[in-house]
Amino acid sequence: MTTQSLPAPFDDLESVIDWSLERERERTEKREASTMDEVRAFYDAVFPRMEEIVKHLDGFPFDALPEKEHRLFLLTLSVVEVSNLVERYKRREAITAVSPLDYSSVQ
Amino acid sequence: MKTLMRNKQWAEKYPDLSTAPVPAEPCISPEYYELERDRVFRRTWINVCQIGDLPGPGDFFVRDLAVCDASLLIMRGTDGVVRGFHNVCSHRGNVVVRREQGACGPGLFCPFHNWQYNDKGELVGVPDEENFFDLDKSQNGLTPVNTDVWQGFVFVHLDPDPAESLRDYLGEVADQLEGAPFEEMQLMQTYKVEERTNWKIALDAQNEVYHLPFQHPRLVGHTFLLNENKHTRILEAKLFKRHTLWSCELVPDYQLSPLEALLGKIDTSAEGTRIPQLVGEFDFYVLFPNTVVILFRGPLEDGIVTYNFWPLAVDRTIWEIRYYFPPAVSAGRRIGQEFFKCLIRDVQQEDSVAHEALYRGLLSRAKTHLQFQDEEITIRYFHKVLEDHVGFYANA
Repeated sequence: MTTQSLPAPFDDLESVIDWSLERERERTEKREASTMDEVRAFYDAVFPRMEEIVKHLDGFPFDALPEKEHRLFLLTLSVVEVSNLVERYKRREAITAVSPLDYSSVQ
Repeated sequence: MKTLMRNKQWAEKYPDLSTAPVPAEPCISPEYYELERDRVFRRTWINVCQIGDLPGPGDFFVRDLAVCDASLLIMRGTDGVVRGFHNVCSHRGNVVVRREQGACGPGLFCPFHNWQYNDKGELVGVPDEENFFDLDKSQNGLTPVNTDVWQGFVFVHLDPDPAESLRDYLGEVADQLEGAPFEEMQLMQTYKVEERTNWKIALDAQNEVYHLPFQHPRLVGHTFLLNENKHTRILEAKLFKRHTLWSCELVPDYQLSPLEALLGKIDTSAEGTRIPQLVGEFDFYVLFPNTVVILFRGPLEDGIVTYNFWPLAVDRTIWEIRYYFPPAVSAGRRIGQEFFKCLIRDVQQEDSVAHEALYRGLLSRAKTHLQFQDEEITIRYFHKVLEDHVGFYANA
């Protein structure tokens, strides 16, 4: 039996639960450590569910999300984290920027 | 659309400002940097933090102002007054507080010999006091620094007798932003980016939109208004006594990314904080010398980005970037804020490459002058104001 870390309607997103990360820095590191295929697979798994996810989260006070809902919410922030790479750059070679890890995030 | 597409309109508006090329030497010269330290950073009001960095009575924030060789301790007293001090012990000159932020609590203790200061900077405890010679604690508090707060922005002036008040220094910018609801904005994220560049190169590179279609084609190349030749045209440029403003509108045929299109569907909460003082949809203020305040209009709420360019040396700069939004009321709203932050952050990561490449290029001294077009008038003016303070060429 596996432990469920996400609310029941989103059981299937268990496969990408390692993208549920609290801090921006962790989400950036995950993006940087993943292959483009892995990034795309994550985006493709969660992006089509975003509307449904937010509808579910709206059933709770935003400043007091239960643990499973909070994990689910963090998945959406990782979608945002990778969205420029997936939607705009499309491939890493198109990026001419400093390493995002040089952006030391204070918060 | 209110923007005029006419060429050279800002030079017409400000005919007294020269249109000649601007010397590049100030961006690489160690001599110029030394003069800036003395004649700019020690002689102007410098934004060191925000009131939100001192959320409660007794809270403090430490700003290392390397360009002035100063460590500054900003404290909100239990009486509510914000005071600034040199973070230096009266005993033997040790730096008292080594943390960036915290609460004064029962007092701040110098780690060297435990001298104790209260939330008003007064010396209240000296171990083995009886063994000192005529030590008057009341005369040995932390050294105060002129400190004032405008709309939640905390400024210091290192001159013990500033030539003008903070309000007068901010002048027309303060008029323009009178009553802006900055206190409703919360700090969401801070980045500190150390770059091998001169502080002015980094600031100048941000202080125009001409580069957007070329340097950021995938991220924001088609975002701000473009003329028929696909070149940016700003809505407004204002040159104040020292500070500047430019403002932009968005292109009418802006193409939403898939995620951006989704945001409109998932953020169904009520309209949030608006900044009625916005001129266009993206207002960029430079508060001379090293602070930028950006106001932007989002679909359902407005937000603020601030930059502080902290010189460490002629060729080293920390670009401190802060994002402020109204407190998120729903998941959809928070996702929208994250979207905006990540988009601009990724633009900034492209900009950092340019900041360093510009410095490397200028360091070769292959080019003695910088060429500015009409859209870059606020950069041109910044260099004039700077030179008016520094007097490098006037005295040459």
